[in-house]
Amino acid sequence: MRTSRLERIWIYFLVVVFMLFFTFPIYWAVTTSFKSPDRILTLPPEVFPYSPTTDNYNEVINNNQMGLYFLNSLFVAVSTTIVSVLIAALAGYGFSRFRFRGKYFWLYLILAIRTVPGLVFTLPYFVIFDKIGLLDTLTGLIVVYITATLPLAVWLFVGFYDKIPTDIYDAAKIDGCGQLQMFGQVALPLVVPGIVVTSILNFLAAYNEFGTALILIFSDNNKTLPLAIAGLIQLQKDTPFGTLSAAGTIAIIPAFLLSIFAQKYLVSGFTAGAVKG
Amino acid sequence: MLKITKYQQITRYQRRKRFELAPYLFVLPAILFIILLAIIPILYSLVISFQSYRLGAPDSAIRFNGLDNYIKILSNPTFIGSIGWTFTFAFISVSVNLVLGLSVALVLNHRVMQKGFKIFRSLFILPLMLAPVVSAIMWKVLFAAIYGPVNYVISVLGLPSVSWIGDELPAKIAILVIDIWSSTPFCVLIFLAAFQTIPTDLIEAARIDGASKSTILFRINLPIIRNFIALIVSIRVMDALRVFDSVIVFTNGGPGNSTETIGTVIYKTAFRYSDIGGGSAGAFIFFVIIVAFTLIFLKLSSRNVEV
Amino acid sequence: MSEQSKQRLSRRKFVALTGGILVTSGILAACGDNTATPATSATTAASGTATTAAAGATTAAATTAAPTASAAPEVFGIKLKDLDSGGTLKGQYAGKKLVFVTADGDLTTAIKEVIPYFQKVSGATVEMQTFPGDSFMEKVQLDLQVGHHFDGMAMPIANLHGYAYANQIQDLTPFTTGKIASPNLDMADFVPALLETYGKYQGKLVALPYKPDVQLFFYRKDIFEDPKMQAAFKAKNNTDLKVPTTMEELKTVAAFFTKSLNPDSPTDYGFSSMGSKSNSRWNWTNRLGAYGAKDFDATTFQPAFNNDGGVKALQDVIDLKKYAPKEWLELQWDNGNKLFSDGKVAMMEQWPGLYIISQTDTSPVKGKVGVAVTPGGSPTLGGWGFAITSTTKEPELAYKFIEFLSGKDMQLLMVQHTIDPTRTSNYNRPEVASSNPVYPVLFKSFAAGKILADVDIPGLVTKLNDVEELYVQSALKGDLTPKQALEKMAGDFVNEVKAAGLQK
Repeated sequence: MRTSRLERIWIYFLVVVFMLFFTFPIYWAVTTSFKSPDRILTLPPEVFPYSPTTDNYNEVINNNQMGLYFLNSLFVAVSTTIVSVLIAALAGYGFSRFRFRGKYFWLYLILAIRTVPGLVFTLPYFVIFDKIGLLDTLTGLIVVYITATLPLAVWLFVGFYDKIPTDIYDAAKIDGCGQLQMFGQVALPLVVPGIVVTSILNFLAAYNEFGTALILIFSDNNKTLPLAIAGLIQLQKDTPFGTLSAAGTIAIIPAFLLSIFAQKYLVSGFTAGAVKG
Repeated sequence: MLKITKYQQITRYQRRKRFELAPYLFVLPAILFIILLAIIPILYSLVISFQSYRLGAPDSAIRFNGLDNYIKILSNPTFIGSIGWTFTFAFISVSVNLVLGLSVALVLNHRVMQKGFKIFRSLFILPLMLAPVVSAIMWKVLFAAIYGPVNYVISVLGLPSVSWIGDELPAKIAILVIDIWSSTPFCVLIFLAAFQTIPTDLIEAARIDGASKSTILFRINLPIIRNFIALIVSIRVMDALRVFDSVIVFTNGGPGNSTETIGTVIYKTAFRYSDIGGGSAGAFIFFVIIVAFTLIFLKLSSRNVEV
Repeated sequence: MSEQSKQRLSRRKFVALTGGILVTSGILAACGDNTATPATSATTAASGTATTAAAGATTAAATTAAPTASAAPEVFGIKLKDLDSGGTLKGQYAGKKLVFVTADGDLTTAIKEVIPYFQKVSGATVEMQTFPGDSFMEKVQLDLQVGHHFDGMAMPIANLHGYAYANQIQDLTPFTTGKIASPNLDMADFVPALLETYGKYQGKLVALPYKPDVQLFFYRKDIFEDPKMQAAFKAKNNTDLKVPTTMEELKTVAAFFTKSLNPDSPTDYGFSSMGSKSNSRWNWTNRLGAYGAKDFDATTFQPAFNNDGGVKALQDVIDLKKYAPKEWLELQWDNGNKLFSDGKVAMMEQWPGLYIISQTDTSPVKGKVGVAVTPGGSPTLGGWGFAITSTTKEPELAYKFIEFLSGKDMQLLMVQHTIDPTRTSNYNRPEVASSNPVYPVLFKSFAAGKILADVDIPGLVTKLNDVEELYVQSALKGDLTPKQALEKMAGDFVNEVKAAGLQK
């Protein structure tokens, strides 16, 4: 069945419309990052920077310790992603593959965590982390982010494992696979789209988190990018739209590269052949 | 023949023995995290919700005050007033999320887009990537009075400019747009991943049988990924009901209190107004509302599946 | 066959992915190392300056290794002399450490400018911990209650008063009157109004004034001085065109400069300010004092605005709507200031920061802006102060640090980071007074200021700010009459004060 010309045009049209909506604020941020302060609030608004400048980037890169904050954020986000995806992949497998006492209790309890407003955690984290020495550490942030990303990750994995036909497991059993092999060599390769999508979501959630970082981090050396970027805005001072946008644009780069890298696996992960069994 | 039976017996025996512990080993790490870093803090806050815990008051003033916090927050007109708008908001936001997310995912998954356009998939999830503090500022600029591009376009079209933060309806629309913009990419991602679980041979078979595209979509694709749709709905409903950032940054609840959500009211109570006990009480009332809502939703949706 | 190869393929892809993750985690480990290195190097650098500073103190002060920290600096051509708090800092705090907190931005930069000098003469190390201005109050309050990590802080005045009420910050009197005080402290030199409103609270000295802030009246000097305008104004109103000092004058002049009321007006709008939720109450508090009303009674915490004066003040604000931009209720810091800087507005009430913004090279009103005390003569006071926590383990050192920061000469170092002085002597230095045309008016406005920008009732600052905003907004929108709005506002005040247990 070939795609008709009309359908092709319709698809392109839709892509353009959707693109406009989803990327326009980003476009505005990127172009703003190349504008000088007096060209930012103008009438009519400048859709394209007429006299582009790299001043904002120079200021962001030279001022502050942006490099350090950047590494801190990457460290936190990557650690969170690896640990959280690993734990969720295990748990998702456990919940999907087995029947055991308390299975649904725990499964729904994990989901229910996500309905709890963040402020419930603020004071307890502050008090408890202060007592056990996790306050003002990146480890403290990572542990919180792992917990916060688990509910969605576990449920996603359950969804993906559920799609694996049981005869695949049975076949593997006949081949003499043990529990861990079954998980690592049979189930996990079949949920690559799940791993990819969970990784992207967890990475971005940890990479951009602000509220908990504000409460748990004290010293300059432990700050993450969102904290540092928010710090560019001063009370009773002009909002530095240009430098903010420049910092935001730089911060997007690793996330963007990750998603391009990961998309490759998202497209072709779940092979039709494997499902045929 | 005999050999095989023996083999099966052995595995069955092993299975029974090992399987008792195995499932718990798989789920244990996750459960440990949840208990230590979610359940314990929640219980801690639950205790606080029954105390007169105010920041800035001496420690000696902190004592149990029974249901006072709960009664107080329930008699707070702003809190009660925020419930209706929060649910309206969640309903509209999640509905648009689903329709828009599915449309974008279908377009991206279309064979026309398969070759050479993969980068588009990454472009569509850009809203998830931009630091929220920056995207909030950008939306403020876009919707700004006088200098905002949105109002500029409106005035070019010859229409009167809109007061996006000053009037109730425009403020609500703007908050919805901002939230939909930032949350739909999540749905797109999950739809895209979910599509990967649809066996291609099934669709090929349907095509050969002459099924139309909409039939394939509604009769084959969507039913196969219904788990994922349910997941998107429940996660998004939870997140939308907790809506906080887009409101605080854009209108701070105004004009008046008309865009205050449950999330903003309890946050303000706890941290801006320093009444942590009261804020926690509000949070638990909110939690109960959501759980009740979710149970009703699950009950209704499972009935639908049976039909 | 094909199945198998596909399966293998997917497995290979999986291996590649895990490989990718491992590689990333390898990079990650490297990241961890990297983060550790600059961190340690930063601390060594800090202690490095401390040691060189100490060395510099014992040997000749001519070491050029760290020029900013060693040579006596000059500001406005004034050579700074008092670099050791009158000889009271002699390296006696060597090895000790202070943690000082404030909001990100200029407030931090200015203090960081002074820290090397303090470290040099005291021997102590000072670590600044700073947070985004929007949300740092929650964090500081939380830490004061349960964390106790801070020794000192620079915070908005109303917050400091709340901490003082809760005994979370110390009375400074024992230090300022004690033996360790600098001979150059000169408490009488602080602008009396600032020391009185910022520093003194319930019979204690709880803060030293850091950053003064007061609402100013900005106007277009060029059009006020234009003979044609003056003639036209005289013809129309039968009085001379002058900078308004009363509400009646303000309304007349504003009407004259509003295009919709006077087609010949050179500006679109006669009057502007920030009218959006969270800023609009200052329009009202700027007038409240002129009618002899106040926001609340300082001893009973009961509202003091629900009277004729309050109603008149609020009615004035509603009257100003006629001359203000139609987007007034949406104007915040950025777009409000931009409108004035673009030359669309004749007169504007704003915090002092507007002056610098209107004087950038590309501004159409550069060199055309005049400053005066707000009409009615009772501008709203903002401001920040220094305080030391009750739980600090180094109270003496913490005091010496904020005393050092408040030194006459040190204030000059901070001026370049937009922190205006709080000492009379600095406003009297001709070099300082001439450096910024705003200063003489700023100085006058401090004395005229009566009401604080934040409702200064302990623990209820944000709540009552929000209450004021809610009802000022509803009066401005016409949902409530001024009288109704103030009655409701007063009702909420009374309830909140009662609920917080502050009623006497």
